[in-house]
Amino acid sequence: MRVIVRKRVVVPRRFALAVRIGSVVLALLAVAVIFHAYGVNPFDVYRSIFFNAFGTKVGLTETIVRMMPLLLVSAGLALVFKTGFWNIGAEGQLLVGAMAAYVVARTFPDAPPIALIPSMFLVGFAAGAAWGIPPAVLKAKLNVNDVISTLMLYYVIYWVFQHLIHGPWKAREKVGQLTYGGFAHTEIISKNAWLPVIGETRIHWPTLVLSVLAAVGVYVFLNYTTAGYEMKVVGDNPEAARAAGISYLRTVTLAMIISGGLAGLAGVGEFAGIQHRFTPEFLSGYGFTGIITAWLGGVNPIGLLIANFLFGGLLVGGQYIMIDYKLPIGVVDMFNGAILFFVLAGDFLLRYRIQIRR
Amino acid sequence: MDLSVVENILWVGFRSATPLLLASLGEIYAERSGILNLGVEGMMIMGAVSAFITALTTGNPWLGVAVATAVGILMSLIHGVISIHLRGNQVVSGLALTMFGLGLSSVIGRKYVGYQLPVKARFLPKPLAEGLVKLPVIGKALFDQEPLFYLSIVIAVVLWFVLYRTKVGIVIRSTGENPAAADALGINVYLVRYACTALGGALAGMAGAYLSVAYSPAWIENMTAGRGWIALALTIFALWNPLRAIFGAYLFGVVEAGGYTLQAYGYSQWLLNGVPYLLTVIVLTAGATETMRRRMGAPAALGVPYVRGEK
Repeated sequence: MRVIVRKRVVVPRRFALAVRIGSVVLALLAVAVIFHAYGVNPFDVYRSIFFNAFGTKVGLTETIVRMMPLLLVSAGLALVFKTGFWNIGAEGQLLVGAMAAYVVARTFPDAPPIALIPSMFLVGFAAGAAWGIPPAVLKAKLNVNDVISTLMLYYVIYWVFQHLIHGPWKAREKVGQLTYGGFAHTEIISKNAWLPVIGETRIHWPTLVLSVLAAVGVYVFLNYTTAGYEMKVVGDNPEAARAAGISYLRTVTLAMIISGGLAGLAGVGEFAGIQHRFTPEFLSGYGFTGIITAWLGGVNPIGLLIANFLFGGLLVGGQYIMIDYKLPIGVVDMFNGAILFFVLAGDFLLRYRIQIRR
Repeated sequence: MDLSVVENILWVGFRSATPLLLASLGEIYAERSGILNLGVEGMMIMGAVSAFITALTTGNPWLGVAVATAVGILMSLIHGVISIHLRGNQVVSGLALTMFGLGLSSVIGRKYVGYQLPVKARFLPKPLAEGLVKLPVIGKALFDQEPLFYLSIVIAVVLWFVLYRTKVGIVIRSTGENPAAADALGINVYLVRYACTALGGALAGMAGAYLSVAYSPAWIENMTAGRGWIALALTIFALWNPLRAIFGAYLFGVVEAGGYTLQAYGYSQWLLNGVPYLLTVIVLTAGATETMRRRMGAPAALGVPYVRGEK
């Protein structure tokens, strides 16, 4: 008996879908084993995640609240990954975007929302893009490893942020006539800078609109513009791209401007739409989870929507199980990692055909 | 600043360099064989939690190191199977390993948060020889350390020797440079890659053990705090050479330790925390010009799955 492994030429759509779903199911089973060993009933945990994320009205709207920043981040990441550049620092670009929004809101607290809100998004995009450009230039000019540089710049801005909220940006508390610096958080920004929400929910609709536009936009950009086409060529075959006169520097920098900028928008949304002030716990890992959803969804609006909706739900459900089953916050990371492993393994079946011959 | 401050910076710096050195030595071997494993952080934190729990329950730090090493190997083999047999994307798989390790370690360590290791179960700095410790400035840094500190240097020298002076080293390097040619010469490419990936996991696990049984003998979630990523950067900075890794690790360690000292002089602890990460980017950038000048890049087949007869 021999096992023959051959490259697939075409992958049937239904087969691809079945493999993806099968991979996620196997990942959930693997994590179930860990939960069982930990001493909680995995089926209860999964029921709790699913019900709290998708089974109630509040759950569904909260899932959408988390889907929005994920969608923005992953749309940009899916695009930049097409060029073969690994942007692992979207979390930092998101943070810079949020910090820029804070500066705008603090500088013009009395500006009307109609001017203030678009300015925050614009400046946030620019700031996120600016934080994303150096790794692209360093890679193009000096071949500095992109994974390391993007991630290190996340840590750099994270500590700058901590410095600011513990010092220069710290809110002054008023007690009678006295003011003093109290806890490590900034002041709440002026109401004019708060993003409008839908009804009683926390869905800040300008971000929702932007996120859906981003998911569709990167698809159109990649498939229907010259610059997008060049990104695909650079990613698929850098040698051919160079031979054809496509500038690696320009292509990758543009991709990072879009990716960093979209992450910046996610930061603006999270800050001006939800939190309205900075605390040390401002970040919640959208920049990292977005790497997974970008890779799963690809540059495809439907794929991105599905992947981010599901992972948004996982984040919401994860919060409930943390409280109900006394699990640490890292439990969501464990899910993410396990799902990625199984999807990677399942990909083998999509790329290769396994035949067994006697 | 008097001499004792410098002495102390060096001592603390060499301590914080030890996990960086161990982890980057392992990654050097993995990458030399052609496997890019971005999961160092995940393997390291799993090593830290398993070493801590083992040392706490048995009272034996060496047993902790052994278990951490085994756990590191197991973690690395997940990445090995996906990268080698299943020919998956090594960047994504490594990231998954980091996430999985950070998550799983927090679940496993949940019941141990805040525990301290009893003194018996820790590694304590022990003077190698009283006379040597009294040497000015470097005496304490070099000769008043935990056993794993000395072990890491021995491992570095041995790994350098094996890589550059033995046939095994040639086999590993040729597997990373040109697996097809290595295969044609009868080298088992898969076996070499699995072995090097496992060595990477073992040393990352040991690095984690150093953190939780020697450096700060307690379990704190995410206590690796990005050290796995700095180790990855060190691998590039060291140009995949174990001896250069010693130099790089101590440079980083001393800068980090210098930061702690500056806090005492009123500089922002938050900004100082960010310095090692900024330094990583600067060092890589500075190193890149040298890499290009000397034409010493990454192993040619790094991150590329090998399939016999397929281009």
